[in-house]
Amino acid sequence: MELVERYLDAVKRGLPASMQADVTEELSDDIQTRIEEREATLGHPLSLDETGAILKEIGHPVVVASRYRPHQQLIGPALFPFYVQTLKVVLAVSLSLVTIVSLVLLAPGAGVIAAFWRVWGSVWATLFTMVGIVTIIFAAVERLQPKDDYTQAWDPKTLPPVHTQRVPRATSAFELAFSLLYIWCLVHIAGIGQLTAAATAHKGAIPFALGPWWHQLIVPFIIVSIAQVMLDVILLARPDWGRLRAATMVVTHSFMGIVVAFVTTEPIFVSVAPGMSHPEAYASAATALNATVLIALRCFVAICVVVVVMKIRELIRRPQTLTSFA
Amino acid sequence: MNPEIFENLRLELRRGSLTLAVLAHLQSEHYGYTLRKALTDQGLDIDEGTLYPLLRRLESQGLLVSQWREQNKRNKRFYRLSPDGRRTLKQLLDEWHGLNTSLDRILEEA
Repeated sequence: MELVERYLDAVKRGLPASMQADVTEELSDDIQTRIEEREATLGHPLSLDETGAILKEIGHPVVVASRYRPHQQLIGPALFPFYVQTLKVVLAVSLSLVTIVSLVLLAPGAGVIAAFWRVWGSVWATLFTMVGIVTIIFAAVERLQPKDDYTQAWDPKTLPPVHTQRVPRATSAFELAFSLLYIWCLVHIAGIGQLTAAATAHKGAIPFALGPWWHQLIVPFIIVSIAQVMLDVILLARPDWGRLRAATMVVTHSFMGIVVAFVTTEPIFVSVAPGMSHPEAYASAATALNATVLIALRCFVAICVVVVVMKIRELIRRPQTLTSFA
Repeated sequence: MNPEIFENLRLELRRGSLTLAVLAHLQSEHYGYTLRKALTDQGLDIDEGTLYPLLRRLESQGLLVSQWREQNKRNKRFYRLSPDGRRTLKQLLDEWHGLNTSLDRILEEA
């Protein structure tokens, strides 16, 4: 009998308090009846093993108790596809953000292996946290949201056209790799500050000093590159979100076009480095350099305008709202 | 065929039928053990871990009513169909017969 009591107690611990007494009393009666019936068949009191066999037939206490709970699943089958999709996007964005931040924060002199472990550790911690947060949110929605809401509240007309807007994953992967490399270069190799520092350190060897605009350009360039990385990661997960790519390109190219156009209003990009013994010898070269950079930047602005116009046309041509990506 | 696949399909097929069988049996009053025995005797095995939670769920849905009474010196919980349960059973049986008819037609044509 002690075995039965232990079993019932184990079941009771897994039940909501409101039904503990009721359920265990009913289950107790069932078990006692089964034991009495088996004893009558065998003609002797049941041994510990025979009683245990009956309890095993009924099932593990945790499983038996869990069947009385209204929610058998953390996230039900209706919500599960949305959960997986959200996880993919959130994990992809988190991964890219952690990578960018790690690259930016990486001390230029740090060892490669040490840097790798530091990045690896922060990636795992972030990813596990994100999985936890998304799971908790979906588990809450599973319990609070009426099931019909999210499965019925959709419009077939908002589904993306077949293939026409797909961005090949190879394109996104290439752009992602390029953008990450670009960010790393901006921060660690070709950082304007470092070039300026190099010019200062080798006074006389490099006859030109960089103009003030370079320092102000680096931040917008990094912002746009980070946006590009996030976009590429999202497109890797959802290649059919081509409209998101077009919309993002409108924003980033407009931003870059305006910033660079503003820079070209005062086109002093390089000047003869202070302290040069014969500055007049380099003045014409500095002028030529400034003219070249100005032409290049104007071409860049023109390209931005063309891209923005093309992408706006692309967005207008498709009769969908920008909120219909999902 | 993989026996596991067959077992899963069999369980899926039985799941809905068990609810119907329980409701049909509870047109007359039963407590858990006698209900399970009656179902088993008629070829529908159901374990306690499935039956008792099912009875609770059906009761919370208003399809069953229950009452604790003493019998053979032990408290037992007796279940029977509620008026709502009777109406639902009738609708479910109509659905069941409709499904059977459709399936028979499909099998005849196949």
